[in-house]
Amino acid sequence: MTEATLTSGQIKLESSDGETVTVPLNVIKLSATIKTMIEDLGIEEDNDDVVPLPNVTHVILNKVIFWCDHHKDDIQPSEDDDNKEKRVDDIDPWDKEFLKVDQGTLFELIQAANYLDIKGLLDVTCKTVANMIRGKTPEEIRKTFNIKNDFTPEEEEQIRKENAWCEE
Amino acid sequence: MSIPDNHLIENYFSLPITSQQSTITEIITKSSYKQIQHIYYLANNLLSIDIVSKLSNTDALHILSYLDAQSLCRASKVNRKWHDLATNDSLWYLLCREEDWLKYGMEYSLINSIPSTPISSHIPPHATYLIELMQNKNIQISKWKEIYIRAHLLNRNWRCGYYSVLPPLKGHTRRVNAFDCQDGVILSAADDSSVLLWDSNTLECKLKLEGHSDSVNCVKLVEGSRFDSRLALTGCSDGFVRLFNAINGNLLKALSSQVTGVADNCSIELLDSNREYIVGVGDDFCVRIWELFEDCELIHFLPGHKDEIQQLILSGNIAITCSWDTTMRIWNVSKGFNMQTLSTAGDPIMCCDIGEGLILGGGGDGHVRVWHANTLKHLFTMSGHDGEVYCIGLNSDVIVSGGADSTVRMYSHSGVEVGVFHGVHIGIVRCVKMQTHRAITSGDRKVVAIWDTNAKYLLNVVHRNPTLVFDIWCDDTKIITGSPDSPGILTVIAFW
Repeated sequence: MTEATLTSGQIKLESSDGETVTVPLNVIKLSATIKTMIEDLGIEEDNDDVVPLPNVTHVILNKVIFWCDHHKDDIQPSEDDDNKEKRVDDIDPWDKEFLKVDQGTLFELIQAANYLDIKGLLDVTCKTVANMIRGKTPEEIRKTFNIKNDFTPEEEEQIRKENAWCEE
Repeated sequence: MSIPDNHLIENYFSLPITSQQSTITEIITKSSYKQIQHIYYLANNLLSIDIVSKLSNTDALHILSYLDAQSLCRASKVNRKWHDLATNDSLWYLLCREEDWLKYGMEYSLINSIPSTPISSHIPPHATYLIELMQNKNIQISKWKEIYIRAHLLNRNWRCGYYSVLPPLKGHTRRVNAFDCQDGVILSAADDSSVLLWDSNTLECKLKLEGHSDSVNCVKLVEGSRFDSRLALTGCSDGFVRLFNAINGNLLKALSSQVTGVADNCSIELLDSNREYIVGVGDDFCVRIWELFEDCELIHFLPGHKDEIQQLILSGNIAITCSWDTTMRIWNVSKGFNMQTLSTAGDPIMCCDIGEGLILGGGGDGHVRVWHANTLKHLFTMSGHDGEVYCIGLNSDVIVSGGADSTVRMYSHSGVEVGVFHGVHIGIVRCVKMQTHRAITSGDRKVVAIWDTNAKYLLNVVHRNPTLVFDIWCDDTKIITGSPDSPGILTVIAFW
């Protein structure tokens, strides 16, 4: 596939619930999975082939495409950026607004970002969940995510001791 | 709360799915604001799902990798699944890496160091639960989390001034002139011609390095020399610089200064990965350089200074000497020549240091002079001390100087004074040692002060030595103070 195809071509994706979406290649190129697929399969511009995505519903797929479209011109972070100090409050305002969704959708977005291998979307969705955890007491975390405490009183006491140092 | 109409509910659920949905839509659109609000909160709670547990472990760890230590600890208290995830070692490895604490898991593990029995402890009871925690066999903590906890507590001890004073090292019969410490070993030298090697954990005297016939003025420990696994270097008033195997105490070499010059100060440096040099200065004001090879030949004899040399510093292939003759000389060690003579207007240079691309000289006139370490150009002179500058040092944050006027001063690397501290020390501030973001100072009136060089303030005044402190040594876990009074005593102040 040529660079020109990547900037001008389109591709058809089929969601798990059977809907077909046509996406410009320069938008969906953010998905490493689809990019590799196109390169490996050699799908040509305006081909009628449809790429099936058995793990993504059309609602989520549309959201992912919407996100990719907004971020298509971003500078791609390099692989060795892992050494940078992790800052969690650095979610840009557009993403913050975009991720004002219910927890089920957020969960599905993380799964989709993982399956489609969209690093930027995976990072920002994971950061959003991390922000929902940070600064909360264990009880508040349980409430936020509807979690049951399954510790025995003995286990709870041990874990309290194990972590007493960070509550000074 | 009134009882729901079971008949109506049954009817609703007997409808086909599509009709159920249109019924809900109908109900909601006709509901009042209050009712919709009620539906919203109800639905919102039901939509809460345990995202972290439902995701794959890789994704769950990805989420948790954005959390700080405290949030992770709290997350581990949520339930069993969360506990497994939040105590995952890879997360704690990352946190240790962020804090620059990986060294505690590798070079000198805090896990293996056993705190000695102190003679006095300045650790409040609430701060001792760590020992309790580590002694509790029921609690299993992953490697990097344990390292994180230990490093965190070590840092807290420095910050809050929680320390123990260990039993003093007694063994010399006259004043101690010099000491050095490295990897669990302390080496000390005294006026009574004794040189003793101690275990810095148990504080036992392990070896006596024999052969000196006069007072020993300087010592230096060297790890991993090509010559032997660990070397001890001594400079003695009998005119010899001696090299010992520090494991068994055998004398390896006695390097004569060939003239009457007393070995006042000596040091050793590894160059180009396999060339090692010993540099010594004597009371004949000359610098001598030996190459540490089979014969240990004296390869350079460098006169130049016209008065007593106050301090010798080695850094790579550079030796710096500062002298009462009002100059500081920079020497090329391997080639053996005087690269530059840096001079003051006419006052002795009492102390010097090199680092961060700068060479520092503390003057008898109270000035701190700074030169560029590569170009050797004079950059700036900081005035402020009223009287001699006795000690100087620098780290990545600041330059710190201590003087006869009892003050400790901090300057930025560009020569701006960023802190003047009166009243912490009384009498001469004789020594300063630098660490990452910390400076330790001490002097005539016994107190040891710990400074935060990043925030530029006094952290704590710790231990009051029985007598004046002429030198200190420190690493991440302890401070060693040396007192020159007879009999010479070394004291270990342990923060771990």
